Amino acid sequence: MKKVLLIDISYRKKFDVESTVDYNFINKFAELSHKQILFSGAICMPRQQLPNWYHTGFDYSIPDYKQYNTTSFKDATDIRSKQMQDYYANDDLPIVVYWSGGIDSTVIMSAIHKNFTPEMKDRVVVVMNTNSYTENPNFFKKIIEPNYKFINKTDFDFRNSHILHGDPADSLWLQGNILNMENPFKFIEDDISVSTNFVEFYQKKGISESDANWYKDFFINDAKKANVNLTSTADLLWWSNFVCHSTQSTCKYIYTMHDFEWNKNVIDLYFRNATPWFLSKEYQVWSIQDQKNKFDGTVQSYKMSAKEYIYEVDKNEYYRDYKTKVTSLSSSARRYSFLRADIPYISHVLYNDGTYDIDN
Amino acid sequence: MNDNIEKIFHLDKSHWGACVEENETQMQYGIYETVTRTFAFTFFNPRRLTFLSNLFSSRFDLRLINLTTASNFNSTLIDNSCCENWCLNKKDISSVVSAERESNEIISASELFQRDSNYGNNELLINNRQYFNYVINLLVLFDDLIGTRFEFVTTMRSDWDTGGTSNYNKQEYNFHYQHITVPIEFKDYKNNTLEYYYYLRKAVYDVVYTEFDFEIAKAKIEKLLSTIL
Repeated sequence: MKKVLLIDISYRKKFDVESTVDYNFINKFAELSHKQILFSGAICMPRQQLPNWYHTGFDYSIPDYKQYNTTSFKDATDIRSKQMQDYYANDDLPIVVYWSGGIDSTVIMSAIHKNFTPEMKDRVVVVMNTNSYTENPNFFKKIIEPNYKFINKTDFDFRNSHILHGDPADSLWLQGNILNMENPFKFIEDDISVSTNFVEFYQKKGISESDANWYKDFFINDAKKANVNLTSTADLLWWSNFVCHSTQSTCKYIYTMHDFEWNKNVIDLYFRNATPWFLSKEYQVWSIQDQKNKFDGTVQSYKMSAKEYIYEVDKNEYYRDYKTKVTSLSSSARRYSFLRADIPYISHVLYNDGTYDIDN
Repeated sequence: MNDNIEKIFHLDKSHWGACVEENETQMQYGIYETVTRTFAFTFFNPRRLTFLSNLFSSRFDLRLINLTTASNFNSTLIDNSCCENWCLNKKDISSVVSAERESNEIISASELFQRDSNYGNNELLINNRQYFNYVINLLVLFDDLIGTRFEFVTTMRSDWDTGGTSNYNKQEYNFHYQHITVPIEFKDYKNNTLEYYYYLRKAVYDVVYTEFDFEIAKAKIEKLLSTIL
């Protein structure tokens, strides 16, 4: 019988060196038993702990599905450009973009180049290094070098800037793990107080009925903590998907700030007024709607919608047709070591077999 | 004019298969492109192919394959006029994909198959073959220019060449690619010529890495090379 591995950090009050034991255990468990786990990495975030300067651009409420019925990646990206332009119009601070040269941050630069006004483009400062250049030299030569200020120094005044970075892009593409083969939008009228569709959905994935009911209650309660009221099965699927993936990118900043002084300083310096570009409602809706265009089983199809968006701007057919997924996590971890995945920020592991509560 | 420079300048489209370096071994290697699942180029010297794949890594994910180990390999089976029609078996593809790209690991082919056209259009790859060949010749040229004029470099290079067909790692690649600093005892060479050759080589490699249009790249490179004629 398969399990869903939920990692709940909402009860964590304090971190210490010993808490790494939790994390190592979770990693080891997930690694050893990945065939038995339907999905892992679910994180329920303590939303009240978000720093007041952290601008996610996300309001957590359930979307009006009809409004977003046909959202494509292109639409979501253009809408995001508009949202960010409106947000930045309130002041004249520099707009810093962390550009790694990878697909996600290149989407951001492409969107800026395509949609921002000339005045707004003048405020853009691209932060990059040699790795960024070697990752995508064509884009640098063609788009960034002739049009934007770019720096690779740390003496820039990041605190008095807006920061844009490419989180949580990967989860948009990979979160089909949960909702794969299921369109939540057909459950808009499905009342969760009486419906068994959510439970049946999990059962089809190999989860027992009692476990599926446990997850259902868990997600409903979790949404209540965020003052979100789930009424339909569509809401429930939406929330389980969103909360398991997209909150992760926020957590990694607030939790590395707690007891690790070095990380705290670095994040305060480089991520004050930071906005994760891909954390918008439109991207979320696109992500759960458009499974078939995210990955068709071929190497080149991964993130093709994003590569097509970039192609609109730089006309680089090599990047569109031959760019493959690389281990950008390890690359970016080398560049920004404070974002390493092994930084502990987890307090509880919740299983549904009675052993979920690991005591701190 | 150096013979090899002259040859390179005249290696235009009609001679894209020609190479200034003679094959003195019975080995044959290929660089395999992971998206269209076929071979981009074949050559007998794995070190040159490793370097070639790194220089073209700005547009292709190329992996080094030992073709000689394939059960159906013979000397007339595969060359640069038909390598785009050949493919690895599933087991070898799995080995390629799981190998870390930056390790430059050489995968031994167990068998070669006719490529399935469902793997996608590989025209862009084929169109670059002339460019690949041109760059192979550039690598030969710089070894020749630097190696024959500055003996110590040849000695150093031969040290890490002794690995034969062993894997060439990133560190070695960086050494070759970025080794511009000249030991102080060679500072007395007139006009810092050795330094200039290293600078020139790096400048040429930069062109290859960043310029995707072969004709434009060739013009830029030949302008650079003209400074040593």
